[in-house]
Amino acid sequence: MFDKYKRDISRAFPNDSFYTVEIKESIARIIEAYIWRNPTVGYIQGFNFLVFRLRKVLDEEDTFWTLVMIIETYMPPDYYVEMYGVRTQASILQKIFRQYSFLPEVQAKFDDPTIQFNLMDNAISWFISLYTECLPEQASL
Amino acid sequence: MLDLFFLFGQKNNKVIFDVALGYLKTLQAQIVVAADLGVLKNEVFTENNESLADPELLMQEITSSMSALKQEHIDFYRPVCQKEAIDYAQEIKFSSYNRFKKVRE
Repeated sequence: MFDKYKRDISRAFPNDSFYTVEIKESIARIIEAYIWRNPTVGYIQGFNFLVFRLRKVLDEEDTFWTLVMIIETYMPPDYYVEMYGVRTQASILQKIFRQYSFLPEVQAKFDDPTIQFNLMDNAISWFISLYTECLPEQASL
Repeated sequence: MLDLFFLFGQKNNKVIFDVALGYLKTLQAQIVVAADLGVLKNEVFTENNESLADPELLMQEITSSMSALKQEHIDFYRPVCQKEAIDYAQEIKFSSYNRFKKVRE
């Protein structure tokens, strides 16, 4: 688990000069502290984006406590635990998107056999990172 | 986006879907013309997409999704999706256990 998040930290937002070696070390400490605090949730790939975004506007300690608050207060209790909540939400999105034809042209594109875009798999990564992975900084915070 | 989760969070788990629909609506024009999966992944669904640079526009789409999507839609599918998620987790655990057993043997 510890190796996994270190790899993810080195890959996230490579073009943003804010994330110096010191800041990345700080992010590693925050994630590691969270793993020790809540081993039931531990670390899930994609989490790092959330910490990166928070760390840009908060100091190390505030980032940690904001992360704690998001995971343990704001999100449903089973959201990150073994990813039950995240998988459930992504599966609901896939079903309602198809059933209620909110965007039929988009659905047709996803179903196109030459494209085969898996909404569920992608939604899982959007949901884990609370959209911090797929939105620009000004929109994600 | 994080502000939205802070506003609604636990009280309303619908917000995550409203954002998803608003996000897809904002990108609709690009999704429809995308030539292949690579374009979708690397040019459309990326933080560098310029269509997402204006948070106001994105927020407008999210707001319209909030009224289009009903809580009943989500609640109807929740039980079956929860079961699927639990079954999937069990399957993963079972296959890792079998792999571990094989290695030990």
